[in-house]
Amino acid sequence: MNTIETTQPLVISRLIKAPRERVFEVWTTPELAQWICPGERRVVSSQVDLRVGGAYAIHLETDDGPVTFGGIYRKIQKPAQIVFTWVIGDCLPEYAGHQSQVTVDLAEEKGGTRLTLTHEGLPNAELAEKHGRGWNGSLDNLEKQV
Amino acid sequence: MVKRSEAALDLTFSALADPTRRSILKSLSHGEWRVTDLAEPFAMSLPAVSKHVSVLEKAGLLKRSRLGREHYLKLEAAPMRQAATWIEHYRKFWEGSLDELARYLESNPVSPTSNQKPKKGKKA
Repeated sequence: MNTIETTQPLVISRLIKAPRERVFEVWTTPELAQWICPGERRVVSSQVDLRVGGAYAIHLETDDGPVTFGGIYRKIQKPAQIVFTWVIGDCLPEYAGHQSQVTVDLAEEKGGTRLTLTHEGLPNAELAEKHGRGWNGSLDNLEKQV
Repeated sequence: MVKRSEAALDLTFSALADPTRRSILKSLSHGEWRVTDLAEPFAMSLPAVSKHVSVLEKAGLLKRSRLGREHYLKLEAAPMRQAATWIEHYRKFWEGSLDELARYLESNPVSPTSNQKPKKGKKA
């Protein structure tokens, strides 16, 4: 029987008013820490080792406490594409260590750079159950969706 | 793996792309139903409803069990809900981050690193 084992990828597309080289740069240097976590935050540290197999790690201090992001670069194609893993840090302790993958595609477009972000391999139902988060009770979410 | 998930996604979306099937799922969200009862509110023949049910079943959105001659249907919404929750979580996160990125680039149009080569002319 068919069941949906992996979640669907999340895809977001934006036109950014900046040259592609510059957009690539802010994704692939410690400047990443300046914008990647929305809301009030203070950058504690950020490291970027831009090579396939290299890691990035960002530590922020936010209103909700310290937040850590990190992962490994899987593909670097300057200035068109970056593929990296995304490891859930201590901000979501019940999923800490879970790995997903983010692809950032950058294309030149009139007015700037077309950024397409694809986040795939997010935790699935099985993982959620493993962590004791049952989905009993309300079907509100489904009702909203259908 | 990606292909598999995309195929599953296609199935889900095509299954959800029909108003009758969405109504069926909604009915099932209130509990288990017999196919015959499910057909009632829709001005539709039993075979027509059964066809919709099969599509939903193939997409993994409902489960069928048999008791004698009767088929009982049950919603299998957990994977979908779980997916929706995570997607929502990260959508919010990335939308916020990309807003921030746009703002950041507006106020920092040029690279801050001094050893960076001067900006090249735009490629034609």
